[in-house]
Amino acid sequence: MTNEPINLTIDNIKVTAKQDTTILEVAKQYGINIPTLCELEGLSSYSGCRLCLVEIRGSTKLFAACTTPVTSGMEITTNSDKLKEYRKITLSLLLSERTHICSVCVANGNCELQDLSNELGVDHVPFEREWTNHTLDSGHNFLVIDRNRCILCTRCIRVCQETEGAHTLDLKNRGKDAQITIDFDALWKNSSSCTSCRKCAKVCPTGAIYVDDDFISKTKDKNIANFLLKRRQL
Amino acid sequence: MDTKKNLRSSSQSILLSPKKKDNSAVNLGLKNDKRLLKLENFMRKMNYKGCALLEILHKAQEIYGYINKNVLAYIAEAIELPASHVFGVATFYSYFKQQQPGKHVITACLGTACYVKGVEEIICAIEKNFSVKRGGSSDDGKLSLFITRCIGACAIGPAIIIDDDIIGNVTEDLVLEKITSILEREKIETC
Amino acid sequence: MRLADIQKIAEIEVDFQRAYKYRINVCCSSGCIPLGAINLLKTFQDLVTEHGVIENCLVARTGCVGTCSVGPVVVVEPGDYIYEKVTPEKARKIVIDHIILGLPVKKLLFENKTFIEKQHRLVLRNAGKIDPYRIEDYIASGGYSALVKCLTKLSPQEVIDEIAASGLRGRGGAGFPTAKKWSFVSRAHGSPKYIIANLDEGDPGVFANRTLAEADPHALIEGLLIAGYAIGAEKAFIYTRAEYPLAIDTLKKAINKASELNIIGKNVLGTSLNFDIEIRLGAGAFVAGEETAIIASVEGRRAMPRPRPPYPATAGLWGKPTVIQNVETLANIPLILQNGGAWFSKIGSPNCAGTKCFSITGKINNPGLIEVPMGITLREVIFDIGGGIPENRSLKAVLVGGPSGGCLPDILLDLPIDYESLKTAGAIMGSGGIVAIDDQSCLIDTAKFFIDFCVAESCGKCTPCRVGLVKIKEIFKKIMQGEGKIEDINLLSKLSTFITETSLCGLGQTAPNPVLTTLRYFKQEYVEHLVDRSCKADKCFKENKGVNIN
Repeated sequence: MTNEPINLTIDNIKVTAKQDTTILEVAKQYGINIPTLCELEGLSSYSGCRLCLVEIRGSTKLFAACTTPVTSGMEITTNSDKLKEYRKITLSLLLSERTHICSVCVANGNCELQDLSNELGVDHVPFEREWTNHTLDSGHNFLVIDRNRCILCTRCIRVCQETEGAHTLDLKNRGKDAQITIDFDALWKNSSSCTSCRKCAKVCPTGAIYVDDDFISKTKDKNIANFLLKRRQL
Repeated sequence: MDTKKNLRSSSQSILLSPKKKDNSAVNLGLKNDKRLLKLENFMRKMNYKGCALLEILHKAQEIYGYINKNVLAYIAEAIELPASHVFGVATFYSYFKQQQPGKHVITACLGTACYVKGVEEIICAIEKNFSVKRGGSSDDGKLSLFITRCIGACAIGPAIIIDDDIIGNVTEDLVLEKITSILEREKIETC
Repeated sequence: MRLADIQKIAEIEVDFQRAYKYRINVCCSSGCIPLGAINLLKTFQDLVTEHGVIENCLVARTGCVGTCSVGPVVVVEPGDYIYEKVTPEKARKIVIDHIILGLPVKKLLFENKTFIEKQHRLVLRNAGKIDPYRIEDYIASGGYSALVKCLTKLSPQEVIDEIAASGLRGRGGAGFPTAKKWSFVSRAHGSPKYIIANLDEGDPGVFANRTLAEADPHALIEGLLIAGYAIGAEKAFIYTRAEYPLAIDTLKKAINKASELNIIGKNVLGTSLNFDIEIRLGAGAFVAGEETAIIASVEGRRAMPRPRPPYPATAGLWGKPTVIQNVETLANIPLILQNGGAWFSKIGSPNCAGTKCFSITGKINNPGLIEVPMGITLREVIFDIGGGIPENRSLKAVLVGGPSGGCLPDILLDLPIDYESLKTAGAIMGSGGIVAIDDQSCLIDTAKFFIDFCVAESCGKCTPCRVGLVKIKEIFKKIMQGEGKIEDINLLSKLSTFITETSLCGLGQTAPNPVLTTLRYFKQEYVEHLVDRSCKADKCFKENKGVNIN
């Protein structure tokens, strides 16, 4: 029973999957691209960005591909006009939430938010922009956090807790005031729990956390969490 | 306790020097603090369990009136939770105050029933007359104005709590008069 | 104490109460206390002593009678004479005339027959009738007999079957069938199993659950015990708001008393059932009413919802199977077991059995707490029970279901209140708030008030709710400052639908409801604001008049 493969279709392509896999995992195996931002292989799922929403036939609701497990006979659509439209709105909202100016960003050219915006055709932001002005914390020897570029995907928090185990980072406040905090809202240089492992900078999808004086392309390493997870299981 | 773990443990950020656990109270300037003893006893009652964090924060606020970073650091150390986690929880819930409230506290109910009955205008009047902003205290620290979402006194709205007394069916004049008289009394007593 | 002792306690208490000819119930709930109820209770006690009728008349502290607008309220039994706005002077008159001479004081009575007659008090059966601090009073009124019945005559499956026959649905808002939820958990693997009683009534303008806990805490405890027996759970948490000190105190006392009598604890009443109840305090987070968020909060974490599946029924509190149940649902359980599922299923409307408590507030003559059969119309609630709108003003809209409910226009007044028809109209049952709005209110301003609430209460996890709601708020701000454009109507509608469909949890999915319903039923008012720059209620365009619209 439990090991029988599941048959389903994604965008009219017939696919087979193992039990307990998510829609996103199956889609990846078959080379079907579903945009994601908060999801990262090797970390727990967060389901916060809502970019990976897909339609399932027979339901009017939308489902997050990163956390919804596949079931037999599912008919999944990943790319309807509505989904494309919604993804553009989601990206526009993220772009308007804080201060995103690509030309002065360290991550320019290496930014997942930028890449997705280009890919999905976000050519303007129809909402009022916030232009936040949070102070830059660059006192650490080489790690810098610029909260103006943060999209609250919490990858850094999860990699710090789950992979590194230091739990230096977490969220503070809530709603629109939510921020990444270091210990008790400390400056990074004063953090006693941080191991300076750079994993947060490696997984940050934007230029919010980066390594100073390093080529951004060298810093970013999306696979770090998955790599370490697999190594640990050896 | 494992020394390595202790060195990396949560609450030693800027507030604590990374010394022995027993010293934390001294470093926090909380030594011989009876209130701290109360908090410590409560945490012992809770078996220093991490899942009792909310209960412990409630107790801390009950004892101190608010929860500052020193107290948070002490709690994080005692129940062995990461500093960022404790800070995250304390700032998530709006009931926990991070700043010391003023001597007298006005809490206006901004529930739907009170709003429909015009509490917003009353709040604005308080702000204007006593130069205090919602969520903050006046410059002399005498008065704080907080907003709460429904105290359940909807049938007697608009309702305002002045120093723990719920006053129902309030009007602008009534509230201003009450607050003025409380502040006047304060003045006389201090003279 | 053993099972048979419940019956004994009931008999002794009934005899004790029968010795009194009169009983004066003084409402000491959160509504009446600010109006001086505690002093009044003492006054009555002094008065009966002073006049030497103490052996004739019992003075009791009780929970909410429901007529909160005319507090402090006092009820004299037998006959259920409700006295309104009682003062110490009036108390003297009541004692002398009614208790000593036997003549009810007509001019001090609360005269509104329909308020009482149109109601059907099941959950609130004991509210205003028993002393919440005395377990004997609850037992004498038939309390804990359902528990005894379950423990002696019914198997856990039979209990679930009885609930299934009753057709009871969760009163927390979504209306999920209770028996279905229980059987999921009872079949789920993993132990221990947990129950969380949801008393986190965050909706501004709603106080039904609080009143229930203050008036009849043992009904809640009995409901929890029966649920625990049915699904095989040994531990329950009551998650309540820290802003409800009286409810917390009442519950604590009730739990202590029940433990003393071995109604909760190890080997309940001498049977093999073990059951333990703990109170957990919320700390001002509306989102903690969501079932995955409440779990996070009970575990001592940030109350942020997580995606489902896995559902709490299979992986809830600490990863164990968990039932999360609204307290109003739980208070129905003992009644169903006492009288049978078939009896319960006949009350209310066909697809929605039972009653529902509503807090009716806002611009209404008799605000208060009511309990009505499902399927009653809004008109009956507002005009017959609520007594209509004060100052002869006209009703403009009715807000049903709290901040994420809907603004319904007067043409929908004959809508029967049940889960499905409210949903079709764009509102939700929510936790049961009905707020009447008259023509002095501006609905743009009102919709913005609710969006403000949801912006402040959003946990910040998912993009649509965290950022989208802020954008809606900004559009409203612009409209109210006179800078809106007619295209804003489309933008609002598009953004609202987007947030509804893409948000992670119930908060985000329902937060745009006030916007969507006002757009649907009151579009004209938006047009007036956007084209004519006029606000009939004179709430908007006041930037320079010193009113803060941030």
